[in-house]
Amino acid sequence: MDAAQVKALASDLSSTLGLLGQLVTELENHRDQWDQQGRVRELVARLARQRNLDELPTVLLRAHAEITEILGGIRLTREAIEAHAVERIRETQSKLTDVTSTTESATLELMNGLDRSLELINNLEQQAAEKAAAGGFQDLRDQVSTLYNHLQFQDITAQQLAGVTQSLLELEVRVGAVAAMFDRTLGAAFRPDAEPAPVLEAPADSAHLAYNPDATMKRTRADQTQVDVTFAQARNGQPAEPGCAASPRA
Amino acid sequence: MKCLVVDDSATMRRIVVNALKSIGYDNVVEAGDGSDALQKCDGSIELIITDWNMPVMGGLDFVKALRANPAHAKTPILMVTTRSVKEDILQAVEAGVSSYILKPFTPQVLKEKIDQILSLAA
Repeated sequence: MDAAQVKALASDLSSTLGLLGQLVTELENHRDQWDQQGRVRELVARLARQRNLDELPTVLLRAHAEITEILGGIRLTREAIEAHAVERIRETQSKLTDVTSTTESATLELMNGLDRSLELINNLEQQAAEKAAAGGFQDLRDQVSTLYNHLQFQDITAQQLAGVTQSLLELEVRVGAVAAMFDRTLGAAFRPDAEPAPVLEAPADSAHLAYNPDATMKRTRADQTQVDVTFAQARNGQPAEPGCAASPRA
Repeated sequence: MKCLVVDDSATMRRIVVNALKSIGYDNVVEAGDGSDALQKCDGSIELIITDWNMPVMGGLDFVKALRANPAHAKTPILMVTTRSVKEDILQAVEAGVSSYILKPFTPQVLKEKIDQILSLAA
């Protein structure tokens, strides 16, 4: 119902109340002629006591004004959600993607450096006059290989960030749905200039299969041993208790 | 021995390849997901090391598809993954995985598992 309809209704109500008032007056003036039992008189007296009815049109108009103000607040909230929440979520997703891309590039560069270091070690070892130093070269080579292995952090953190990004995508869809709900509630008449709410596609069901948000660097040899036990039990057809085979850190 | 390393992460592929080379496996082919890996699985592949979580075709589906091919019914497959839940391990066993390694791993663990599954396959 828009403002014009409310005003028309209030006007009709006011007219009706005026007609009712005239009717009461007429009944009062002629009650002795056709209300010998006094029933009409009683009804007229009751009607006359409904003084608050006179204020109904005013109350209706005031209620409409208050509802309009509330809807204005909802519209501002909807715009704030769209302008800030959705925008910030998208920015955060973009930054997370940048972090993953940057760390991957940096990790590959580190690997290139480690590969060159290993080549240098091999060359130096061949050139070394004293073969007694060979053991030292092997230690150096082992250290570089260990560093190489530590770079698994990039894949692990990328999976964790993918999990956060996926959560943000789902949040964005839900926030977008809330904003769209406001649009439906407010109606086109309230926001004639309103653009349609952004259509946000829900993340593909299979998207989560490309990473594991529970990935962690905190795995130990004991965790691998526990996995080995579970794996062996499963292969031998022994039942395994549900839960986490390795430590539940994640 | 010709190995196939399957992982969507270029970093992880390189780490696995490096670890394989450090323990004597120099002939390595790489694939970025299960679908890519299936195309590269010719008769010359003797050992497969695959990730689980990958786009397009994940490791589990890849193993199932591979096992459905009689030519690869007994090819040793090592799953290297961050997934540690028992239900996941059970699924991997049911799919036909030969052994299971948690990421992050060390070349020593990789060598142990490879030695183990190759001795069983022999």
